Amino acid sequence: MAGALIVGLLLLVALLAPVLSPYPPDAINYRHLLSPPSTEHLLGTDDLGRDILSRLLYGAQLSLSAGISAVILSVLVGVPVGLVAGYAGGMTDELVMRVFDSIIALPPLVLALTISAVLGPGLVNATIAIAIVAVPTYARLIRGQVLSIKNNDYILAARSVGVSSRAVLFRHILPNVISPIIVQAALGVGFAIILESSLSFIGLGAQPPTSTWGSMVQTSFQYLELAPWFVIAPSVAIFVAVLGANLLGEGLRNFLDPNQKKAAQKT
Amino acid sequence: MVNSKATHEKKFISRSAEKESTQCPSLLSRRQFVKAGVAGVGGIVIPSLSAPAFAAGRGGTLKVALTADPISFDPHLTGNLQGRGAAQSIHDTLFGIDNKGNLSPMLVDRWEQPDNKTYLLHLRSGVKFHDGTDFDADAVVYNINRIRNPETGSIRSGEIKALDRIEAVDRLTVKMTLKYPFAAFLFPFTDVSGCIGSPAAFEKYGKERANLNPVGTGPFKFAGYSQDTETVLERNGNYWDAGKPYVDRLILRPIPTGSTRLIELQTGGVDLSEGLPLQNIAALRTQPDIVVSERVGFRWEYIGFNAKEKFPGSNARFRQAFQWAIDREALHHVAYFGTGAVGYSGILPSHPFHESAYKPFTYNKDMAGKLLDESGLGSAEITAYLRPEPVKQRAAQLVQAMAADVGVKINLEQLDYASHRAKLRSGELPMDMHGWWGYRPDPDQYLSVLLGSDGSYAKRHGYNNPKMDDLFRKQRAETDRDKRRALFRRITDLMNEDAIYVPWHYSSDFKGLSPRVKGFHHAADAIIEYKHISLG
Repeated sequence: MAGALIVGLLLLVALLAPVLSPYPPDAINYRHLLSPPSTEHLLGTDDLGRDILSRLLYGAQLSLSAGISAVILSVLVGVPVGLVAGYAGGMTDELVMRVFDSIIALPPLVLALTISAVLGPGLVNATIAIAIVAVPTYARLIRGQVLSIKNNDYILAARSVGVSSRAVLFRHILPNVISPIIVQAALGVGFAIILESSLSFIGLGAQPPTSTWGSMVQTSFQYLELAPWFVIAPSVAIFVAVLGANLLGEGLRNFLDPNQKKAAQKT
Repeated sequence: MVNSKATHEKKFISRSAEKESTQCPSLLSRRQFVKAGVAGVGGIVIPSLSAPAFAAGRGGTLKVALTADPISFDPHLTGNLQGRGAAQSIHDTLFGIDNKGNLSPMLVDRWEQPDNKTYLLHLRSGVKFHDGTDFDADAVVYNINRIRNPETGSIRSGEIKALDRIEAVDRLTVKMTLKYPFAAFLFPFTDVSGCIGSPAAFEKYGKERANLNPVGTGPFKFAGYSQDTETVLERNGNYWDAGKPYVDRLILRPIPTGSTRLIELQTGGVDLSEGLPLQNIAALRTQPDIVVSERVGFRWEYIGFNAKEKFPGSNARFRQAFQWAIDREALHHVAYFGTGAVGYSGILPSHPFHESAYKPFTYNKDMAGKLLDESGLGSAEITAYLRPEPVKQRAAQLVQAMAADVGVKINLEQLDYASHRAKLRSGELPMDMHGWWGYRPDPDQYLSVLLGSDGSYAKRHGYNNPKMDDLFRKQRAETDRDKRRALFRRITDLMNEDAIYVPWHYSSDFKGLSPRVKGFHHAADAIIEYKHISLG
């Protein structure tokens, strides 16, 4: 599974950033501004003479954790809401779903931008904004699953013997609908990383001198023709992370989807 | 005198005709230089000043890349540098400014000062507005009163507030009487406050439509405008300065991204570009196909503090510590890529009052630490808001690191331009990297805004020092140049002692020119005087 390998490797690199980084990420050296890659600075230096490799490694910590925590946050909110809406049906369902519809009606980047502008710039606020944008995706996904199985015999049986609604939801329904959520979450990490980078690119994400990949692209952009290595490094990092998350998501789907597994076995 | 000038120009025209018949204009124009007696200038020419001493060819279209859209062409209502520049090519100003920073004749032919509160301006005769009406003393009075009228809402009214009465003595003489003696009073009339538009046109279009229907006496007529795309100006064939302007048409294109402006210049999309990217300057200087023109002392950078009680900046020792805690040399290299110059005052190097030997501070962490100890603030923490401007972002991160070295924690927060302006105007910036934008012919014009207790910036920074106000009153009443210079030195000393503004840099204005562009004069205020420019 290439996806798991890439994501695992990135997480490892992020965790080991303090060990792997050749320089402190904020160490300014104004005698080496925008110097090209060399043995001293493997990926060159940025506009303040800081080592790009070190900033990239520390940036991995923030970019990945922002992406992952945004997904965790939205799953924690979206899954229970979707479960309840699907199970309860009626007015509750209508209300919740219309609210989510209106959120989905807005383009994700525009919505995330508005929310983080309201909350104020900063990495934590950006993460919250991304989480809010992603909540409806998980809620709708799980609601659909709940609707499809809530009239199955084993659910009806559980209800008829007097199992409480909460137990039915969390012990009987949730385990049977969770696999698409896991797949979606893995794909969602890639989306969240891109969104975080976009917000940082606009200046609403991490504040200087902290670096995330997005803010590095923002700064490097203006030196595009003068110091191409500066823009290439964080861009490639974003690309690899998103690719890894998507591959992981697809791998998980193949692994968890019983139909596809059978299909794979037949051939 | 006017006559001899005219024949002079005529000679130029015949030369340029000769030139146009050739296949190799650059070579020939070089030969012409030698012919015209300008030796020792070399292939790349950044012509110096006033009347160009070389053959200026007539005709052609000059395309210019601006950093921003001019937005309004009403000289009394326009705000940004680009608007001021365009307004000044459509409207002549009352006064010009020479290379030494002194007033020179423009629409005002000569002037006198019978006493220290009265000015008599004798206007140039035979000047006509683009709409055919005559330029006279009544027009000047109309324009100045338009600025002063609160209904106009002109931001320029503040800079001429010393004016008490203005009247037309005769057809070509204007008398201005001041409320109090003010040595720098005439300087705003070298800029848009001195731009005279046709009263008939102002009446015809009203305040709402005057912005896109400017009618002046200037070298160029307004010919078309499309917001954020281009402004077209056409040559005024009846211009009073005979022979000028040289080009038939001006096209001003706002291009906000620095690298895009540069590419346009390199590929011939424009002949002249404002604001070259600082990181490219060193490389561009070695390129033969682009002329880099630098004007030192265009604006100055400071670190601003808010002296209101709730902010750490209310502590004078805390502010003073920054005078020693910042390595100006490093800031010069990082923020400005080594362009411009390290600075210690608000008097720009291009000004006669500037003292190049004035260096009261060095990079001294011990001194900063000592002052911080005396401040009694302990481990101080302060928030600085940042605009999305690369220069400020580089500078701020470096200042942040230097401050951390002496135990002050600076939290940086990025804001968009509008929010930053709102916070500045409401006086809610604890610390800023604002700096003063743009050269003014007299330092009183901006230092009083920053330091005088009635100045808008001083109020925003919670600054009020009666000693400073007293120095300003004295220098305004002083007509002797050397004494004023000495008073400005005392203002600078007091400014540095109070350290509401910690100065650190004088930046240069950079313009990029195609070698075709002749006669370009890089003015201290960065506004381009298109009437001197011709295309080779």
